[in-house]
Amino acid sequence: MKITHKILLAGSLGLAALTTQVSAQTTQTDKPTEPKTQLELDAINQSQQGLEVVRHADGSESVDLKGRFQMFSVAKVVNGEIVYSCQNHDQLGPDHQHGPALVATKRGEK
Amino acid sequence: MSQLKLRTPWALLALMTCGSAFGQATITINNTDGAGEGFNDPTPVAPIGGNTGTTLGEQRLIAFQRAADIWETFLDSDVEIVVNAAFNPLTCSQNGAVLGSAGAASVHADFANAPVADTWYNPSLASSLAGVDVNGAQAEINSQFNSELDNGCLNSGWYYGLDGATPQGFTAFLPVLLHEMGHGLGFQTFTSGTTGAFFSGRPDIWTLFMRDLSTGEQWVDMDNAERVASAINDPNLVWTGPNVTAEFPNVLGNPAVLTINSPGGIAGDYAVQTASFGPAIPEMGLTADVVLADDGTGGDVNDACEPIINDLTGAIAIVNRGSCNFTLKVINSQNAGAVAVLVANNVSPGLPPMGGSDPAVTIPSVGISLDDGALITGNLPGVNVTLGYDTGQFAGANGGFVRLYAPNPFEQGSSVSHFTRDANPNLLMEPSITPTIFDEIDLTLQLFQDIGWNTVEDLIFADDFE
Repeated sequence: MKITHKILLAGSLGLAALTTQVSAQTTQTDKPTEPKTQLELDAINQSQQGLEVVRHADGSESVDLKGRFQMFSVAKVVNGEIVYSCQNHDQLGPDHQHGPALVATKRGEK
Repeated sequence: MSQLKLRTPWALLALMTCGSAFGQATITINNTDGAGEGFNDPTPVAPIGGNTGTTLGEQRLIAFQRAADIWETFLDSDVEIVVNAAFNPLTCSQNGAVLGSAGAASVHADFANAPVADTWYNPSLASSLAGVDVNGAQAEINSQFNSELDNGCLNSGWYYGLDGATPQGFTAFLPVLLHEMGHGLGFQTFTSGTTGAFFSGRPDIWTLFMRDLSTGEQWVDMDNAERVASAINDPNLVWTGPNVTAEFPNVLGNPAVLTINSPGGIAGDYAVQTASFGPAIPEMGLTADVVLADDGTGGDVNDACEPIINDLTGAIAIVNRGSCNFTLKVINSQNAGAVAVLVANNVSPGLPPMGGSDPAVTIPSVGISLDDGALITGNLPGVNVTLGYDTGQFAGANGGFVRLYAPNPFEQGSSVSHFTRDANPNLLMEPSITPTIFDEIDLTLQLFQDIGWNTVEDLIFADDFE
């Protein structure tokens, strides 16, 4: 992991703070379907790239997620039915099928 | 074992705590919409379902405040929780829509009173534990919801009523909001299920309570490759927090099961998916002959999308999935006299999700697999079945723990950060949104206790022994 350090003033807290640049490690796999706002684009983003670990004077640390790592609720029309679920934006679309409900498989069959 | 599990409706708990000195959380909605749009939309509307707003914006805000009120009633914090909230035009078409999103605005570690060192916490919980607002002027939760739904892009639009009686063709707002706000308050991991990597090199508090029953290892003790494998290892990924583990027998019921009684050649137990609408299967079970529903029209005369033309009186109807809502299939069968409905999947493998909401449904229904549907219809007439429960199991538990959602392949945004879909009754924080869960938080309360939240339930309990 690449780490760079710099001193800055954490304005909202009024505390001297040490920041650590998070590496460009990313887990983003999203291909949003017609996103309409920057907020929507930010919310889809699962990348840590550009996020900073801020070290505060009291020894605590924090990361402003900048609107990323949001959880989505979507509605999908599958076989004429609207199915509501909480999942990522990139899985929205007419061709997407929900994974099967993983109830126990058939048991006790004779 | 009873199928009627005790739950604590929000209104009851509110009554229990009314006028007391409990340190309930204060959740403040920060309306970030501009003039004339979103929460400020002046379009006149009629009050509906207990929502007294007379403009679209007012109704949105009242419903939002109700969700906040519910969470406030359960959580104990002396630090205000601020939720940035907006209605924006998000993705929407007749094929699907983004309903909304929410999540923590930041993560925090090693703050004052942090129960576990070197571990990430969401800002609402971190502030509550620290006794100070750890992220200063920044909101604790960001959220936005889709204003396009009210323009008819998907269906008839959002239902802003507070009573859970969502009319056919509308999308219930309050259940979606209650669910998403739960994520923002802590029902979320930042450990990647696709790479196995901790967020910025350290685990979050959520990760400490996940175990894979196949290996017996906690996630925090695994390497990245092991976490990736565990994230798709359904039904072996479980939550090991002590509060959820102690409480789930009081919440979860037995899994529903379809037993074929005759003919003997196919007799046995078969898996089913219970519906989010209509009554539960009776505790004593329901036994009847199966009859294939025939609507006499359309591409599939057995899809029950039109009025049924054969007599289903006293029968358990079997219908095919597809072409219309599950609720319509059940209502049409019900109108023809059926006492229950089996909806056979039209894809394999898996079970139909059986989602939807319609108070007109008065009989139970379940989804069955494509193969099982073919097996039953291939033996008609003369198939006698019982819809009942497997009393030897808890629906949604494994090895004495509640399961988390871990399908293969991994579902970004769903996997790991939800309870299993197989819980019965349905839970607020399953990946499927249940329209009828609009005023209770079931096992999420205990999960929040596990990750460190002080709750009003704790205060009531402590007060009893003072």
